[in-house]
Amino acid sequence: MTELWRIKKCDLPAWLNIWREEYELWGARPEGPVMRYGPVADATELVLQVRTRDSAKNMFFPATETMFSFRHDEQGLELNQQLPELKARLLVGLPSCDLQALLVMDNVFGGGGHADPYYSGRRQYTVVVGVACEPGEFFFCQDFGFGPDTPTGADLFLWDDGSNWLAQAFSEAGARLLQAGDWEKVQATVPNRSGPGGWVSADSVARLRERFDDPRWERLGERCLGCGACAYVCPTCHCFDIDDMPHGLEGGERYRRWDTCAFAGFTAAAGHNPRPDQTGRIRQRVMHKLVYGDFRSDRSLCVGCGRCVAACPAGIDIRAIAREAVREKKEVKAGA
Amino acid sequence: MHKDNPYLPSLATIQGIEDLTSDVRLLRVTLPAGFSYLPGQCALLSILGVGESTISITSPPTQPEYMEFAIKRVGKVTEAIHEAEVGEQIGVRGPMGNHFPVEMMRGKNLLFVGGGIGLAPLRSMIKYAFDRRSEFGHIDVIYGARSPQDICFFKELTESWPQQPDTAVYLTVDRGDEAWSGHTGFVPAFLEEIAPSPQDCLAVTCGPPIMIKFVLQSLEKLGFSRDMIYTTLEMKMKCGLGKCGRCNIGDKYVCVDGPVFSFAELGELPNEF
Repeated sequence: MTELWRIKKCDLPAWLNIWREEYELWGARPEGPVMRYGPVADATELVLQVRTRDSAKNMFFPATETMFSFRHDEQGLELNQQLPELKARLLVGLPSCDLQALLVMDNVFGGGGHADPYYSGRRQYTVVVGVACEPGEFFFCQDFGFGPDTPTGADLFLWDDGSNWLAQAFSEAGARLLQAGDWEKVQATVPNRSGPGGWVSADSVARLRERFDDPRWERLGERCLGCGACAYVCPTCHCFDIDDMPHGLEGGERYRRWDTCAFAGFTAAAGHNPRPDQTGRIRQRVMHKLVYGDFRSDRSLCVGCGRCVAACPAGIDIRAIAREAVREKKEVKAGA
Repeated sequence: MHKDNPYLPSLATIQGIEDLTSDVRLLRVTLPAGFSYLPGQCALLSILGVGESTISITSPPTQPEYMEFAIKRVGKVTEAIHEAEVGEQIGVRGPMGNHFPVEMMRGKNLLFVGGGIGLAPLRSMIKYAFDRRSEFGHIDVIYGARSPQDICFFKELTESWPQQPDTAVYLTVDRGDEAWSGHTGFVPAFLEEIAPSPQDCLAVTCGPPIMIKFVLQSLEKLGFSRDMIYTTLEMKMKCGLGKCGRCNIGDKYVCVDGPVFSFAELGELPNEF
């Protein structure tokens, strides 16, 4: 039994709105036909326990951003870094997979001895409220060792208890949020449902690693359109390109934008491309997600959110690729 | 590296420019404050408004006054670097990545096998060893270029390096011309002809991927073990910090785990480069 706070579902928006003075509220809300994370003016606009098409990574790592500007003048060259404006943000409604993904991204951008000031600045000022999800089609979180009730990574987590939320704080910022409400404390068992899974296993990962030269990659290479939709919606795909945008002759800016190993130019250096066709590119994506992972933290780069499966216009399913890796090739008899 | 923002380049002033071949230019720049490196490391050079490119540092760290880069004109950034003039400022980020196993090389004989612009990273180590000559054994440099006109660092290879104590320099070209009286033929065959002893020797090779592949086979034939052969990989990079993902091969990022690898380490990586 754990001490949890019981919050009536109908009281949630009013309580969140208390914090609007201090925080910009973010969460899932419709943009036309699509559910995406973004800022909301009022907590009643937030949609909880919904699957967003895109992940929340754009909140910390926008699809394009200026890193610094430069100017040439008589004194020489002058560089001005353009760090993001540091606004306190309250992000409400991340499911467990997106929380896990945030931990991966924290390590990628914060680790390696060089913190990324653009990501880290935004992340540091964001308080995250996780919400237990209702697993739906394409999800496979259990394969990565967590389920829809796993609160890891949240400042505050809300479990579904019918007409109430059961809340627990995991940081000072999370505890502070709770103190603004006049909630009842209850002794309860923290829900711990297991999530959907059964696709990716230690065995399938080991087989994929062994099968780098398997002809099945060619069949996937034939189907993969190289559109990058999978990487765009993925909560842990963090690859980016850096380029310059000149403004006339005197100056300009250096910016970065999302990039992906699915694109032909990703590894193309002048005159040489180590991954010259889509076979190598789709293999790289699957291998990096499932096999190599974020090898610095030993975390998987896939969190089982299923967004890439839903987004792929060619119907490529990373779960099926993993499952097929352990399936032995069928013996085809001559004449059969 | 900028303390709070590793994406922000330092500024360096171009002090000298020398054309090494028709498409390779040597740039000498001021050493930004606090920039300290070891042979084999690279830097990201920027022409602001055009972009950034990863270039290996070709000067030795024993040279405290300046840094040098040998830049082959292959794309828009290197093209812009070639257009830069003495006195202009360029952006420098780094040093990036690991370096040649200098500690392990100390006391050993050294064999350098280079092809084309691949001599650039080797030169940092070669000149470092010359500057600290008593710390290293015999030095062999075997170098090949497509034609006599494509030989990088021709003066050093033919004049100053052979004058160094206990050092031999061997040159070859794929195709000679009327004026060429030296060796003609590919580097791997030339290497087997010279047949340096693997005894107490560490080999470092860099050049076009196809040359590296056959040099490795030749070195193994000569009795070098894979953990005594090192190379430095050329790979497209953007951030140089292990974040942008571009240079990922297997469980490595070339920009932070490399660019220097032993062949024993490369053997562990997926066969795609």
